[in-house]
Amino acid sequence: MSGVILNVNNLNRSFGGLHAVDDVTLSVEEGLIKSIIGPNGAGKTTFFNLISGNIRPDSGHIHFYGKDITGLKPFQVAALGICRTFQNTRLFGHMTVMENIMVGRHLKSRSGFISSLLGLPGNIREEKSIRASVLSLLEELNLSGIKDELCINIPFGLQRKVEIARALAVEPELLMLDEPAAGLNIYETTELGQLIGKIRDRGVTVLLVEHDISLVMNISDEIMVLNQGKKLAEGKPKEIQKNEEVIKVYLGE
Amino acid sequence: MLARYKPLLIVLGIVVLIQLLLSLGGWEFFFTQLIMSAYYSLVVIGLTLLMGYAGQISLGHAGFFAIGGYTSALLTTIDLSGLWDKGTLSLLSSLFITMEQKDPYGNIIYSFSPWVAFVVAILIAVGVAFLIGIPVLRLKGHYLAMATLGFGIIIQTVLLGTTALGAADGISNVPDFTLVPGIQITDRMADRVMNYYIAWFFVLLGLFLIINLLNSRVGRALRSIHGNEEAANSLGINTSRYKLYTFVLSAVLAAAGGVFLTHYLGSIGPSEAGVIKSVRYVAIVAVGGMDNLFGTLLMGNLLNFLSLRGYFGTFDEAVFGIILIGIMLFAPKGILRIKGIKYLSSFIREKLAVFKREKEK
Repeated sequence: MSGVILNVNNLNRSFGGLHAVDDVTLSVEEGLIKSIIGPNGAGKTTFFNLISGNIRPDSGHIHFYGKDITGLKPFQVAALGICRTFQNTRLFGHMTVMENIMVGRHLKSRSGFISSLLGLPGNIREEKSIRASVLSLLEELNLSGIKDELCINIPFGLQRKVEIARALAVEPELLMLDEPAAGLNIYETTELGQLIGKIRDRGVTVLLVEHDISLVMNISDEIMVLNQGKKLAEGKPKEIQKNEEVIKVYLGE
Repeated sequence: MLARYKPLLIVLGIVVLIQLLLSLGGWEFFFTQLIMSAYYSLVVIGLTLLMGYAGQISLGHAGFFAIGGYTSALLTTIDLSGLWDKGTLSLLSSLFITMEQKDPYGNIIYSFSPWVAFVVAILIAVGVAFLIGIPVLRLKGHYLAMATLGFGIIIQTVLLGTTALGAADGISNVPDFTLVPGIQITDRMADRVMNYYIAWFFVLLGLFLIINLLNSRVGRALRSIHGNEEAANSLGINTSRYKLYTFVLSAVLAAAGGVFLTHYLGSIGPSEAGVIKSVRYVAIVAVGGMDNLFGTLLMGNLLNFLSLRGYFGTFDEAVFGIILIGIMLFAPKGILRIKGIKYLSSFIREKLAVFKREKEK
């Protein structure tokens, strides 16, 4: 058994009277694709936001490679090696595809405010290496053709892909994708599945929230099912498919 | 690589062209207002960086301008004779820390030299910007606008109520600023052309720094904050820190403008900190196109020049209000990008291309 990358213990978060995430415990093994599924309002996205630091838990702990990251801010979580995408893509619309992905290299470069102001030679060298690494990533993901387009001008399917590319530019250990297939057609979804598989093969652990059940069943190594904030089941795709409680939640009694 | 500095050369070219035109045409009386506009545009370019690129509004930047101007005015006019004995003062003067000068009544007094005052003014602006920026930049949109507006009002009220700062009269008899021996910020008629170039040297320096910043990792981070703060944060960008640094930088530029203009004019009054002034800066940034450094530079100099020449008459303040409303309603991307002008420029480009092709035949 390989190491555990993410450990979530008894995580809780309420919004007013709604217990959005109710005592959820989860561990993610390194190098796997782990998916979180569940009906609408099950607390999947809240769970995601808790891990990425966008919201704080009421109680419980999150450990990343054994380090307690509970309550850290999103940029601190990102600096440790967790990067996420958003349910409705959040690209920087008035920047080009290339520039968007270059922002993803932020953590891998270090020019500060003052040295940037002065335009020191070190900065210019660094800028070149950022450019080079982004160009090769664009090449790899077949995005070179649209690199100079503004992100508001490219179709939705490509926006999704650009957002994933931007997250990959961060070179995270753990990539969290929040409903990456939402709004994609069947071909795009297939392509997405292959892309996620490739990402895992590069050694990146993937945590996926997704509604498209066939996609989840195809690519996941493990699945956790959430219902009304509580963990309902956890296991391999085949086990989940046979789990009676899961079937009940999804199909009704 | 050097392509990014090309616009600076164009600006320099235009600046030189205007100087030659005015000098040869005998219209040198325009220089005074052009110099003042140039110093005001230091505020404008800083605010462009803050508003247009980092996406944060400030309705209090006149406050920073006044902090710069007043600090320098006070330190260079204050009499230090009571503080130190004559020997110490002449020693400090030989070190360029203090300066011997005559007060309005003809008495010899010792004050801080303008360079010392400049450094102190910038440090105070940095300090205040940090102090204000840390709590205020947590706010967004209207709330940020209101909070910065409040800051501007506080500064003006303090200036109006402080006798040591001249209350409603402000501070006058501010000495010339000798930058290096032979080069002075002064309103002497004979040095008008030199001062025109001094002012534009500082503006170009400011632009140079901002262009560097925008073309760097930090500049990209700023624009990404404007695009989507949450996403920027999730990519590892410490958004609140970058917003704060940008706020401080724009405050420094505003304060520098305040220092230079005060030494140029020889005085500063509390109206420089007024809300109306802050609104004016915001209006200029809006009319110039927000994230268009050279658009705001052009509109800033044009509008300030017209205003200072008195072409807007008694409607001066109303003009900037109307501009702001008009821009928000009809041309939110600035006047240089409204359709008419876009069509016109593409029309001209097309005709030129046709003309070129015909010529080749």
